Amino acid sequence: MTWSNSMSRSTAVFLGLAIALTACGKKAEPDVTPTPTQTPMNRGPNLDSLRADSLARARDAAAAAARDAAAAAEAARAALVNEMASAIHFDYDQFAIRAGDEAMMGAKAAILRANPALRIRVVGHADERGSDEYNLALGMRRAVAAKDWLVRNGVEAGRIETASLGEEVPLDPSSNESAWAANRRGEFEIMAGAQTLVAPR
Amino acid sequence: MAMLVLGVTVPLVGQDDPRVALNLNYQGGVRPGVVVLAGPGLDSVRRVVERDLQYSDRFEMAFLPAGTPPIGDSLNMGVYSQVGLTWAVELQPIPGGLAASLHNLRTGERRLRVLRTIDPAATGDGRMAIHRLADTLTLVASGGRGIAATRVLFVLGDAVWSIDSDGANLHKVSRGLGLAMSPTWSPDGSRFAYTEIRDYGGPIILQNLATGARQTVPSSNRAGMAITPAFSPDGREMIFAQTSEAGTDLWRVDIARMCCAAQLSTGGKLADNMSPTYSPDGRKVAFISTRPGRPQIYVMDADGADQRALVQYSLDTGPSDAPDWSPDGLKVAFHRDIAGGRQVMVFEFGTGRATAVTSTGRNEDPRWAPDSRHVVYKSNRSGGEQLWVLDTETGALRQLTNVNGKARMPAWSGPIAGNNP
Repeated sequence: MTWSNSMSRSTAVFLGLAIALTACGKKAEPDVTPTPTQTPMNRGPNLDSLRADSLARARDAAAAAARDAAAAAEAARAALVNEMASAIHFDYDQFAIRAGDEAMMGAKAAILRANPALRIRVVGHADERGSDEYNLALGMRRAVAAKDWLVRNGVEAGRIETASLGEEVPLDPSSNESAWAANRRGEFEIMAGAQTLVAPR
Repeated sequence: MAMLVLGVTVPLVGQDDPRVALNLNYQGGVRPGVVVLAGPGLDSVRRVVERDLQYSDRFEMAFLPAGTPPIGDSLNMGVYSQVGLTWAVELQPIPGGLAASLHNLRTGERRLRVLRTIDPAATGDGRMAIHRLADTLTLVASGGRGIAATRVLFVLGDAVWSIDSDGANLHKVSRGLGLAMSPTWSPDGSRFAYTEIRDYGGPIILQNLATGARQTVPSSNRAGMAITPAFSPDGREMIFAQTSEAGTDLWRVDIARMCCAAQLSTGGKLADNMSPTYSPDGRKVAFISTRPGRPQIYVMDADGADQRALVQYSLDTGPSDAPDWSPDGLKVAFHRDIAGGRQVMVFEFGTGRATAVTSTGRNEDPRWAPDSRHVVYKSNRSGGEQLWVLDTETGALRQLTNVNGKARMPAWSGPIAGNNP
């Protein structure tokens, strides 16, 4: 897109030159044989410098295009990172992966399969209602349930660490249903291999 | 009970001295009545002893109105026996301390006279000497164990804190950098253990209370945390729960030699097993297991053999958690979710039944006092999360902590020993 913008900018400059030439030609109208075009050219930009400008513009455009491509790749990578890191949620005192989260889990598994260097840690969290210590075990069950799901879907177990923080790190510290629902979660941290990511085919 | 106090003014007639008028706040009850009287300079000690005897919940207390002048060097016992009191504690100053006497007002007999070197202005550990005196008085006057010379460890914020049984002397004790959980006392009271969560790991730390020295207890080599530690009554071993991808399961470790952590083969993958508590003879361990689905209270031999449900449950019984075996061996306290609340329950081996001893709010993590009748637990009954002390025999309830933040996971010490017994 930026490349074509540069193209049209260059085109506009050449058109401008053409108009200038035409204007000069009108000025010389009384002469039957118009003087060579040197005079108006001397008053305007010279062709060599125009050519050099054009080359520089092309180089800039290529660099911009490369930057844009890198930005696009980074945006694509960031999208994959976000998809990898998005949290899943659990029912109260349960550790089964919800049916509604399976698409999200499938996307994570695909990213992991497409990027063998990618390593992650799943951290299980609980809401405040269970016992404080029991929630450490429950959070571990949740992390392991997520890991097991990914392993069943083709990801090597050795690439997934698990941990639990129980109810100790709530996303929302309030005591109501929506806070509890938000806090019963599995978080996915990328440990390694996220510098370059390939989108799954 | 002395919860409602009536003013009783008894004009004395026909006694040794008709000019003496007794002014006491006292309501008689089934428990023996006691009044604490002090000579000059000992009113602060008197108030500590009076509160200690009250908090034992073994007496009907007679309170002196504020501004009551100190007693002279002899006690007019007839005056106090007339209102139905059984005991009078007399505190008199002596050089370097005090003399404490316990008078039986019914018989006129002096049952106890002890001399103690006590600084009346003592704070911190110095107050323990006063508490130990109160426990001696409680034992002689009631035949039961007092709990004044004890402390409670608990978690506040990310650290372990300590508070005396009467709510004084609140201070932070753990020295780690992680998040502290599940503090528990060594049987001799010299150390405590707790889980320190840091960088997703959670080793058990043993810290010496006097020196602050810390040791890491060897655990399994599995990734995860070592949680809910419990000392064996002889202080040589510890059972804890190891969280891991293979499930949460009970492990035993030799802390006399700091080695040899071994799994007690209680399940793990299929069920979580945690929160162990030893019987006082060290032969049995109660714990929670999720093998019925929700956590319930189980029991096993200390080596992991003969595992079975301890407290009956049915399919609709709420999650039951945090068992604590009473020091007399006769009961296990725990908490259970009941009808949207969470209540402290006491299971009695004698009857085989569990009874709720709380009914208001969410009440969690009960731990027995050394008298096997008081429990400290976390409750939200006052709004925030604070520690409360309940006498399971009389139902008397008092708030132990009033801290900013959430006080949780209490652990009650045994009697705090000292040089001044």
